[in-house]
Amino acid sequence: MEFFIQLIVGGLSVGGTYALVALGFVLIFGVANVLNIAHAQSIMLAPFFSFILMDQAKLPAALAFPLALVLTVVIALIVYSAAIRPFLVAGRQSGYLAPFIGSFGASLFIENILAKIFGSSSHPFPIEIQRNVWRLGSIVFVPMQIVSMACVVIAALVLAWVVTRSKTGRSMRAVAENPIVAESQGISARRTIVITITIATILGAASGILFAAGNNELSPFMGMEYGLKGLVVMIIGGVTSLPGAVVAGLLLGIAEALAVGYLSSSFSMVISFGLLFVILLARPTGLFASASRESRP
Amino acid sequence: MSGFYSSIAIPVLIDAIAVLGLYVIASSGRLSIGHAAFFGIGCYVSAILSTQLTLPFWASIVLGAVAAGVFGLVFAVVAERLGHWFFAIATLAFSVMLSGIVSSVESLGGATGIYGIPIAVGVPAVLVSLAAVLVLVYWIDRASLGRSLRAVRDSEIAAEAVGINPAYAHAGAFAIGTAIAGLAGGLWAHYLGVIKPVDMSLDRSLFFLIYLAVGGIEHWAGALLGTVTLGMLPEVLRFSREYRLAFFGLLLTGFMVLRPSGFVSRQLINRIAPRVGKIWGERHA
Amino acid sequence: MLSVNNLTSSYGQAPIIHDLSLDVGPGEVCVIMGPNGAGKSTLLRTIMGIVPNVLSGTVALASGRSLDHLPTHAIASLGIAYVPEGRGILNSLTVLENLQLGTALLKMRYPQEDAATSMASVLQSFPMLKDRSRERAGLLSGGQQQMLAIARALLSRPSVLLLDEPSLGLAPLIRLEVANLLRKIADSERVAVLLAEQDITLAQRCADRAYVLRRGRIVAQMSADELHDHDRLRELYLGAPEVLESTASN
Repeated sequence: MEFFIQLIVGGLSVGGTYALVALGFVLIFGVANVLNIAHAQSIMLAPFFSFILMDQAKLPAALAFPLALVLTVVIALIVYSAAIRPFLVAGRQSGYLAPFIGSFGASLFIENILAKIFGSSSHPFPIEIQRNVWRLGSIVFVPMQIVSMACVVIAALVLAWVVTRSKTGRSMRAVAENPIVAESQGISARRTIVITITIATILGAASGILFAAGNNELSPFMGMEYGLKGLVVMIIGGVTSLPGAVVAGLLLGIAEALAVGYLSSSFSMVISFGLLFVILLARPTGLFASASRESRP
Repeated sequence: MSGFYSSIAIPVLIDAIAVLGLYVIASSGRLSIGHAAFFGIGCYVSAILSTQLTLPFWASIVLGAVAAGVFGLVFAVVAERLGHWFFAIATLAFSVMLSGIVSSVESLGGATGIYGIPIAVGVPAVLVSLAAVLVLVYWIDRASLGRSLRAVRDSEIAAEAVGINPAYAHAGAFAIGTAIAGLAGGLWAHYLGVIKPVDMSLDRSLFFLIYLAVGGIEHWAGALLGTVTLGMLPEVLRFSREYRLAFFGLLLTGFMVLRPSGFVSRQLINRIAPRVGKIWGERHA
Repeated sequence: MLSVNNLTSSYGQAPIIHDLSLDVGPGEVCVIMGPNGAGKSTLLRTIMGIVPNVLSGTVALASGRSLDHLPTHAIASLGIAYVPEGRGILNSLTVLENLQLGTALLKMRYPQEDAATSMASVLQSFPMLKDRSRERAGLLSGGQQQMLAIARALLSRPSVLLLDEPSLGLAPLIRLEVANLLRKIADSERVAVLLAEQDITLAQRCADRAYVLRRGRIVAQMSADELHDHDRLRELYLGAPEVLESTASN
């Protein structure tokens, strides 16, 4: 029984981080109506930048992490300008596949340039977290899990507040539903999208740092690896639903943890796709079917 | 053809067959980033049939293609509800899962793969297969099936209004396209004699996608052009894997922003085809 | 005051409106009439900067301020309010949040204005909206949504109000209310109102002038009196010989 709860705890921790990834994708897809695959690279770039800043520039973690975040956001906005923004101009008749494939190309480019510079294999990502382990009854909480869960909860609460109660959030929801009407009310859709991408990138960057620190592993391909999980979570959760992404993320985390705990570790990817498959059969619109814009590819 | 040239030509031609399959899928509006999974199904099914059931190679290859097509059909039906982008993500997830499963199941050869497959495929077999697939694709394009697929691609709502069921179009195109990929896989298995999980890797899927997207997604000539030029490029330039993918990534994004239809577009075909027809007519008058 | 001069625009290759010129003054209600596809919506959308290809012509305000090449949000912040076909309500936002978009625009235009007072006074003029302020806007009826759209538009103190087929999908009694409201807005707030409409009764009720559009060109201008002249209307709408001639020669 304790083993079971232990697995659940681990699953919630990892699942929450998957949810962070998914939330980023959902935000960008919702507001900009684009599935930006390159967003997955913010998961990888943030820990890499942190690593370089701490290792090479010898900056303390408290300085390195925020700076890495800023650098990651800068890269994300450059990719947006080059590969996504050209498609947001009204009247551009290039179909829907082009921005998606284009973002894919950008993702490939970033990933492989990093691999060329740093080598394709993994690096350790050592973070000084206190060695002590917390206990609640006979359940063990690894400090990294606590940090991770705390980050996810804080991020989710802040995001919920921003989306539902702030002026920015209102603009984001307006642009998500109907950019032309939003513009008619003086809201600049472009500016709103830039803000959205910034928020999404921060979420992705945070998740990347949590993944790297949690697994003590940094790899140039971790972006696509966790990005794909985040995308599967996004689909399971209902594609445009923010709470759906959170619930689906936790669900996937728990399912994976249970499968790995009771079956074997090679089942990780099978679980993701298996869950997706089951949901597609049972509830094709995802867990939280949501309001949609007129046409989403 | 000397061994050196055939060792470059055959893999490229086999890839071209697979990319033609991706073209058929794309002509219904769907995109697959996991195409190599179905290539891999063709590899593995045909390999097992040849080595364990000792079927003649051509039977194994055909059955491998059928198996891939069946998997494709089921997949397309289950994933029909997904919008195009998410369908692509689902194909990616499927392909990652499949290669994961295959490399951990011992009876499928595990990480080392299957070897000892009879090597029965050479340049003639590949050329015949390529020609057959080209005829099929050309025929699909010109027949009402091709028109239906393109109608669904351009506007599902309009297509439905004229009585075309988009689900059938998506599923049909996907089944045909994956069967073609499976055929290519079977050829590959019986050319190399050895197959490994890496044959259905993400890398391979990405190459297929890039060849089609850059070569031209609107016409089968694009599939051929993209595969032949980009497929040969690494041999010419001797890039390492990372540089190759980074370069392809850049190329992909560049094309999507500047020339989204890929190199061979409908307009280009419309301009060149009459001239080609004229020259052909003059030569054979 | 809005001035449109020789405007030609298109979405793709083919121009939808050709060489259109018209004016709307403050306090005037001006209706653009014409069959479907005539270009009424396109004209309004072009003024709002939504149509991608403006092939020629200019749009300017009374101050001489040109609207050419400006993005839609900039045009909105200059005091042009737009109610699109289908009301343009954001269904997923509440009634209050929809209105808050209007007050946000007001703050953008006149930072020293008090948003709360404006909101309160609008809610007083539209009590039905006040009762439903916490509901999602998508749950309102067509008529209520139309009121919400107009109320929201008014909140930003526009100088020009553009409406695209406001009567669409509304019961006749509601159409009457809308017509009266538009007349009131023009008279008391001195707003220049330009609306595209197929409902002649609504036009007759509130318009000072009307333009008839056919195939992207203005084929006639009518005064308020002429709008009540049934024979003239029949000529213009159903196609009298001289009208057909003049369009054929374009």
